[in-house]
Amino acid sequence: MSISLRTKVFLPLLILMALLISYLYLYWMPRSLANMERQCQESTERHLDSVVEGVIPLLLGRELDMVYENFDALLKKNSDWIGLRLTDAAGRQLYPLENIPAPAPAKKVQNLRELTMSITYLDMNLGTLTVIVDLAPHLAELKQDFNNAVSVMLFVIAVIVLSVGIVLERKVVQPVKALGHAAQELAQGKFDELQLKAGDDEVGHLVDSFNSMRAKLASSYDLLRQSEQKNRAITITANDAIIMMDDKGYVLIWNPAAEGIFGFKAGEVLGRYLHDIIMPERYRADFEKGFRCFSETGRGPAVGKTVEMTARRKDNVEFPVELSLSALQINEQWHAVGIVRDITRRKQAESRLLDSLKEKEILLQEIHHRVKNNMQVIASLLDLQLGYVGDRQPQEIFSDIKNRIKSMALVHEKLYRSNDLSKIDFRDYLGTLIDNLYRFYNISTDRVVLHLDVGDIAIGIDTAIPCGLIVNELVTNSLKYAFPGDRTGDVSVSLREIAEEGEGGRRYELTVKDNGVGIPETFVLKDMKTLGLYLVTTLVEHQLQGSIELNRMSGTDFSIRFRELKYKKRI
Amino acid sequence: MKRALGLGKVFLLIFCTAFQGHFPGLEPYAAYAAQKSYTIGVVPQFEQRKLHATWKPIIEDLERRTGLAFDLNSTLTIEAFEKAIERGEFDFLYMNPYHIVQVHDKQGYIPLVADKAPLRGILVVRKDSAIQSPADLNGKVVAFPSPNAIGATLLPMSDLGQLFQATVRPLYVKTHSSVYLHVAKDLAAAGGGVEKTLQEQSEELRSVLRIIYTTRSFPSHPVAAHPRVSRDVREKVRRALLDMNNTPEGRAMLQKVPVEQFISVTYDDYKVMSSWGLEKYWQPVSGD
Repeated sequence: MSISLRTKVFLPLLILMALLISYLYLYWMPRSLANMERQCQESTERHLDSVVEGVIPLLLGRELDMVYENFDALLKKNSDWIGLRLTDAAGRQLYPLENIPAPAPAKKVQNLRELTMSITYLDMNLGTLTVIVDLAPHLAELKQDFNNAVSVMLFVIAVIVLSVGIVLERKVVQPVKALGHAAQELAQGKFDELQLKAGDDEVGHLVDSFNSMRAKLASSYDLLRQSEQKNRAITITANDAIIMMDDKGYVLIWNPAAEGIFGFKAGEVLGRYLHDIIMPERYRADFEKGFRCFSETGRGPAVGKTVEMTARRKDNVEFPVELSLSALQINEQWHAVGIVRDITRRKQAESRLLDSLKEKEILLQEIHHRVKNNMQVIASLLDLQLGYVGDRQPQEIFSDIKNRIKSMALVHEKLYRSNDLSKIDFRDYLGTLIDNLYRFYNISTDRVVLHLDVGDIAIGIDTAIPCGLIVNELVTNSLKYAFPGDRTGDVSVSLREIAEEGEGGRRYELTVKDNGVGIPETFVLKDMKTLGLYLVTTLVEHQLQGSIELNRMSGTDFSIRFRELKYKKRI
Repeated sequence: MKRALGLGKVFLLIFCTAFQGHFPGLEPYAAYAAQKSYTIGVVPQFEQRKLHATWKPIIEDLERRTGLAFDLNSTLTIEAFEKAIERGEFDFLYMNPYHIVQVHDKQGYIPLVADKAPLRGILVVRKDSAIQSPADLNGKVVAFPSPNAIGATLLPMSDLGQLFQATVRPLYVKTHSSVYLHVAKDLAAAGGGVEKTLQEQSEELRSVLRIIYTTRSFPSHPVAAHPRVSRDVREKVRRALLDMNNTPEGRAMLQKVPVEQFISVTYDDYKVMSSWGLEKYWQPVSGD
């Protein structure tokens, strides 16, 4: 039950007043009246004794008139004496003049008291004096005085209470109410309430202190709000999940990024046990063990570090996350704040990067291998060339060698310009290669028309180099020998993928033909005496594991079938 | 107030002595200053408080009117007063009419003024008393104020004895009022008083009394002066007392004595009482 300050102050005063009045009316006044009555009676007795002493000489001198005068004066002066009766020794009434019946034995009639005193002198009985005293005026006067005193006291108390009330109302209750209202407003974050007026007293000092506190709170609240806004902005706009849990493991903060990453809305997880939500089942036991230590000490293997781990989405899909975990103490309870980043893409990129790196390492090894192979090929070509020098001019021999090496170099040129260093666009490669040959032998494509028919085919280096050498040798032969003089004609080079496919990869058919003078019928492909064709057959059969056919129906038509060599990893 | 007045008088005395003859208007004061205060004795007809309450205003008025100083004196008893009279202690007196006759030869007091109305003695009984005539009082207790009261004692006693042959047992109760009360309360069969004092009693008291006898009339109580007082002073006092009749305040004061109206009297007005044979009942005071 709420009791107002006003009631708390006035209630004791009112109770005190009631107790005081009760005491005065129930105890003090009756006691005072009894005392008063006793004092009156004693006083009357003393007075009566004096009267008796005075009346003795009058009786002895028979001065009855003096008795009458004195008694009349007594009755006149003592208004409470409502009757005096003097009798002589024989019982005859001497005073008053009118005979009245003998008084009844002393008795109390309301406030009347009857006092009787014998008048004796020197053993002489002179008579009896009886007085009837009315205490009512005294008692009434006392009651009146009492009532006046109580009234004055009540008035004074009422004035004091009223004054205290007014002062209390103005100086304490109203300021405290205003203070309470302002405190409530303050509790609701309203700092722009009217400035409270402070008096020069304790309440005023309290109000001053409150005003000062409110100003400081307003300033602090403003800073806090700004900080909160910044933190909220950070939390809301962060791409990483920001999650906070208390010492029991229950979720306290779950930002929008967390919703996006884990698929749980904040309302679904706040207040729930965090690790039941995002921790894969198999890690739970380890987590529980670590978390018990954390909740007691604020320490743990992941605290203060950034670790990668596996988390679980709402759809139970696990994914890699990077967790930066920090510990903080609130109300002496350890809380954990985790910043979680979905690193699925990064992991994928890393994987790709590793793959690429590995590929490059392989390629580097392969390059070295190929350089070595190419050197060996060049050495072999030169070695072979030595056997076919004959009477040929050195320039011609070197040109042939140079073109062969260029065909090999062109493969590498196309390779390092391609996106995939393991394969080259073979149509582009052949176009460049044949164009170089046309340029080298200074043959116009108007005289010998080139028909290049190569699909969108990418061929690995292991297959491309022999193919390139083959095309180099066959097209060189066509350009050098098929169109002597100003003979015109066509050279066709095509490469197509053959539909049937067996083990070991795609199969291709390479066709190089011209409609030139043709090769004599005596020319047997297996017995050729030229290095070029020797190279072709060797490369087809030994390098490509393919087959070669020569068709001499109209010009020269070499048809080579081969299977793309499997890429051989060098590591 | 009186003390202040006394100091003023002393101052005036010195002043007037130094400049006597130059301030004729101050002559009365000079005369006063030359004379000591005059004593004026009043018969103790009332108890002392009442007596002073009655006479003090009259004396003060008298002083104001005469320019003389008076000291009011009385005695507790009539007997003591009679002794004082015989010794001539008072310069002025308010006394029993018969006293002036009794002490005339010794002191020669000179009556100045007395109430216009003469006095008559009376005998009263209770209204319900069986006594109808003074003769019925023979052998009864009769209350009297004092032995030598002319109207209340001497004349009734004289008449009871001489006219009614009744011998009574006197009971002296000091005052007239006491006499009437004794009768009213049946403490005495009858009582002696005077008409004037009976009229002064309360209606309640008078209503229970009945007059059974009235004596011859005689002059009222005089204010008298001792012969040692100068004639001028006596006349001043007489004149002043007579002048009191002329003002309401004066009459009111005299009513309390009781005096209805002062008139000038002489000893001759009282001398007649010496022939009434009252000496037989007079009880001279003994001792000093």
